[in-house]
Amino acid sequence: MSADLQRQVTLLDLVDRIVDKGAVVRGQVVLAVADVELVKLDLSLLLASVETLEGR
Amino acid sequence: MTPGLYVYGIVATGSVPGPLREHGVGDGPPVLFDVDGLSAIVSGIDVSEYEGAALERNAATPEWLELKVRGHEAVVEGVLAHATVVPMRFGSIFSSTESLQKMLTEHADALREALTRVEARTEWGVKVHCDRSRLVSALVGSSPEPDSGRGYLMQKKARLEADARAAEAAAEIAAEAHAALAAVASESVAAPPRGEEILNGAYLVDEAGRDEFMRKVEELQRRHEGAFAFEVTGPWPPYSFTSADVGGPRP
Repeated sequence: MSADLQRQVTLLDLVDRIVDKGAVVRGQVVLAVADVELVKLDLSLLLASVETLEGR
Repeated sequence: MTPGLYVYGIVATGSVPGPLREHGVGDGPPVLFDVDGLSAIVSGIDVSEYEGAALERNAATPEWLELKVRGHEAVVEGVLAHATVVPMRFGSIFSSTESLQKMLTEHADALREALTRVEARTEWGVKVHCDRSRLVSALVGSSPEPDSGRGYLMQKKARLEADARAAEAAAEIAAEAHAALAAVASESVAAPPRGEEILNGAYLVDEAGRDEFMRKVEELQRRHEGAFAFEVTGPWPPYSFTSADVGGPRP
């Protein structure tokens, strides 16, 4: 990666990727298998939280 | 306290050299849980932190969110440096080793297939931001200073027309950039852009093709200098290219 493009990954970039994407092993199946409800986070709520953090 | 197993991602057993060092979301470094050639990267956690009202409270606490999200990412990236990994979505939690074992057994084929698809490839994010007023000015072109009422009105009209064309022009450039980047990637996906973004693309790029991909981004940036700013992030674990395969329909 060229130096001019490299930068610190922001929390927003991270939340954007790992909360909304990544492997979900068929939600319903995991629920049945795991008996534990997967974290269901509202992305808009998280983004508001990120804004608070970055704005301070 | 309700004990649970937080899973960061899945690798092929034996592909990660040595113990894991990043701390992740638990108290100590994660461990590998092996089932038939697949290994889950796992931390023991207290599930109650991730449930119901406690979760809502925690998620609204930026410090908690940052700690956990960065912890998740640090573990996956630490593994990504050495091995191919199928990253799990944030908050993938199992109640017991039995349930984790069952998942790994039931989804073994899909997980192996996903590992093969992303092997020797990494994800890159490209966002294109549009400065709309600069774009409108560029579309209007250089017009002489209005020296009369009529000149002023004509300039105003030209600006209104340019403003109407701006969205279309931006969409064309977004489509062109996405197609050009997709052509040098093995897979690509465009998420809905937010705010001033006109493109929010993710590209799965061969390790061997990384330089070519970067050159393409730089070339696009040069060609659209001014109103458009290209922002690259990566290399990411292949978050955007593993959800469909392993996940099937999203919950």
